[in-house]
Amino acid sequence: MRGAVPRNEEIFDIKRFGRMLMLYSAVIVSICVVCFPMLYIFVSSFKPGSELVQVPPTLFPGEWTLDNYRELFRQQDFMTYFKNSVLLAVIATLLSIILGSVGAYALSRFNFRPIQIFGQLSLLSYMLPEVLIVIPLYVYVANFGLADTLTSLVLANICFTLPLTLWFMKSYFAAIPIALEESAMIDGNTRLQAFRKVTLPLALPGLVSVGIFSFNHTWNEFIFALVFISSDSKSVLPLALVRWMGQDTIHDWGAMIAASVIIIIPTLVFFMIIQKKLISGMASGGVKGG
Amino acid sequence: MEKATAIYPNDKKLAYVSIFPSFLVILFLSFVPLLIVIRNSFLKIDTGNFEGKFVGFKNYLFFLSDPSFHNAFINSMIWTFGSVSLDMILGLGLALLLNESFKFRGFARAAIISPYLMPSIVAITAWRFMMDDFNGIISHFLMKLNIIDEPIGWLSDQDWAMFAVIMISVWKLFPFIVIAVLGILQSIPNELYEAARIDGAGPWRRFFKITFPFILPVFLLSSLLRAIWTFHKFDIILILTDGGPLDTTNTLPMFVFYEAFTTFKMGRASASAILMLLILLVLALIYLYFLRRAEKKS
Repeated sequence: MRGAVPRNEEIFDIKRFGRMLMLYSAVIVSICVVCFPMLYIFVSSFKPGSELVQVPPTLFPGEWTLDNYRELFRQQDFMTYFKNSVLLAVIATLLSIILGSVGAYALSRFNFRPIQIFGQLSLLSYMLPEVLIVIPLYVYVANFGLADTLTSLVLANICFTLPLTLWFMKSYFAAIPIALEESAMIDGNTRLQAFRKVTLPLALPGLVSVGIFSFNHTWNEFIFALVFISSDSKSVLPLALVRWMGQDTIHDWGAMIAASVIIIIPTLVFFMIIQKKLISGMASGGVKGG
Repeated sequence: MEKATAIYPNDKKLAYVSIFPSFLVILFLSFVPLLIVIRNSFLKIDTGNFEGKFVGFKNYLFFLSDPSFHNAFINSMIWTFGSVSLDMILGLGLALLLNESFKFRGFARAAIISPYLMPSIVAITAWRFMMDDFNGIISHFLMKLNIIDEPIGWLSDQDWAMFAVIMISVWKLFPFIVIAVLGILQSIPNELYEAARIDGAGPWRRFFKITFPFILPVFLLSSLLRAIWTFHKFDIILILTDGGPLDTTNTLPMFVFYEAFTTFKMGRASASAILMLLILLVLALIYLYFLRRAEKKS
């Protein structure tokens, strides 16, 4: 009961004090354990290369330096990976948002059988395991001469992000009353104008959220990249890390750790934007099979 | 979905035109690929041009008597149930903790959920660094506490590798259960607790008579959903142990991936992928059955 004036017997309630002590220690210990890996690579990214391979390892840097980041950005290849990653994520996200929101609108507004059946089936495609879909997509990519292109990765990623957009936006559109569009149409707008002027602006927060999910998915994906991409000039950030880690020589921890910190940044920024919605959205989505 | 009205007719043409692009993408990127896998699973394909010869169920029969497939199946079970049972314990415990009222609760929730948002490759790099054979901080921390005498090769020792990848998977994905359970905990009406308190029920009794029955369906469903995902997830294993050492972490998706992209036996790979899908389907049906039951109840 925060803020209330304590009655006499509550001024030093040892039972309550013990309870709060236990609660706070449990919370603090949990946060420390759960967040340790992230905090550890973050501080380690400021350690000089020699300290990263030192036995025993250090917790905090003995000497703080930006060398790892400087070295990373000096590499021509890293800038290429970075550009490819941004390009891929932006294209895949835009494609799935544009196609998906139009499709989702149809799913939410029309109730003919074929369309609803398609809606159900598209959910199925969202559930297919990656390892199953990567085999036939590889066959495609090889047959159509798309091997080692960013196009192949755009396709592989929208194969996941499009059904996600369809389902997410379908429920979003369904929550926007048809009456709003109808009144716009009575005012002399066509149906398309009503959609553009009334429904779309209302659905914007939904589009932003699902766009962030799609961007994030594509930004982090590396299994399709591992199979489809062979040349360095077409590589993306997560794949670069996978390849560095796969080398059997002693790892260049400085570059790997600094690169991971850079990969986190867009994810962190985006999720801060939608933090509140995310937690409630995932809570309902989790139960409904999202 | 709302009914058509006079102003707002059920415009068939518009409906089909707007759904068409999504339909094309999903048709060619999901349905046709699935059919290709099914077709290929009946073919023997050894060459790069993917032309094969029909062999009926031979690919499937092969796996039924293949010890390394059996090994992968058992590993998949250990991986899935190991990860999910730890997820359930941690997820439930932390959700209950984070539902208590204390200062900075919003921050604590965000911090506990944060691993879920970490890119897989970052999680993999961080844990690989912490589990290094020579100077990993986990081993050195345990050595400081005198629990172990020398560094453990978490990912290279066959006794530890499965445990290590399960730990990483749990760390990355237990927040899903926290999120689901926290969501339902917040929807328990406070009056229930008030009434129980008036009736003289203590905290344990309140937990087992009110909280637990209330959250049980969501808790079980989210765990089952996690089992389905965990079963076919293999990114951590692929990068950190590649199924080794000595196949101790070779799970079914790893097995499929190896057949497809190391030996390039696409026919066999497709058959093993379909077998994996069938196992997944059983899990999914159990999930749907319980989901229906839970929805009927509420």
